[in-house]
Amino acid sequence: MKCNFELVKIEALSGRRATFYTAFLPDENTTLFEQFLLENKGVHNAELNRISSEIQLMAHRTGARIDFFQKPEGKAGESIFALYSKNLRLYCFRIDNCIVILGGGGWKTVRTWQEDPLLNQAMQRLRWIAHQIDERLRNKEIRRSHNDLEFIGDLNFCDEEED
Amino acid sequence: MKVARNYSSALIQDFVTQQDPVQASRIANQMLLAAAIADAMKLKKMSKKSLAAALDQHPSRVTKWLSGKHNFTTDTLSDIGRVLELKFFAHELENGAMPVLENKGNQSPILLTINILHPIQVPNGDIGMFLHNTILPMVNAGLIQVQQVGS
Repeated sequence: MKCNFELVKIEALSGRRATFYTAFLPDENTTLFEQFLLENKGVHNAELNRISSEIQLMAHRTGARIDFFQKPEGKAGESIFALYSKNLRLYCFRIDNCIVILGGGGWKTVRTWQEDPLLNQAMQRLRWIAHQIDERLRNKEIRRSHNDLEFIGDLNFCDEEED
Repeated sequence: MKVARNYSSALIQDFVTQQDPVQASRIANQMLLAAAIADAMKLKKMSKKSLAAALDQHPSRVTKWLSGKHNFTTDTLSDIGRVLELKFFAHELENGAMPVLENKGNQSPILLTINILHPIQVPNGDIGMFLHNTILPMVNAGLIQVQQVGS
């Protein structure tokens, strides 16, 4: 599932322990994470509040420890995880304790994400984005800052990925 | 040096600030306890499986503890603390450090308990100086939490 995107840092969700990024989609003038918020705000507020508290604690105090994430049922990819509260899933590309890229997600009522069109779309999009980022990391077009908390390099994936 | 641009919006700000402080504090405690347990397991080179076996539990139980979503009972913390040599409760600490009286300016002294979430060594000597030099930076670093229990 190809898409133009730019990696942006969510400053309000980043701290001295972890940085949370998301993908800005210029064609839609929004981010994957905001799409997730829009789809779930007002319906699953309690669950969103829990996830918000967890992200902020990870950002400022604990780091994005793998134990705080859930491995999605169904083959998703090595570094694809979910932040969750009850049935709400926010899919993430977790690089390590210091960097996480937030994707989309939704309310899960099926066993695996493949069985739900909305979750499937969110997951496919994130997997494609993760693949692009992985490739630039491998090619050293993107590197890490000295404190490991930031990506440095070309974080714009708009032009090169066009057909 | 090209870094990501900082991104924000009203929607994200809402997500960050719309917190119930009581709930947020509970979540923080659950996650910090989980982190302390995970760190102690690493120090003792214990896997989920071995900790579960030591406590006669299923490994999935340990996964739940480490998820930061578990509402621990005092019994569970006592059991985990015994195996991992973690002191979760104020009365378990040596050197009579607890409870602590802290004088805030003109206010009456406030009785505090300090929950140590990571193993620490308390040196002999001036406990007040120790608290100032050691505990305070640890509070600021988020390694321990100070909770008011009375006045």
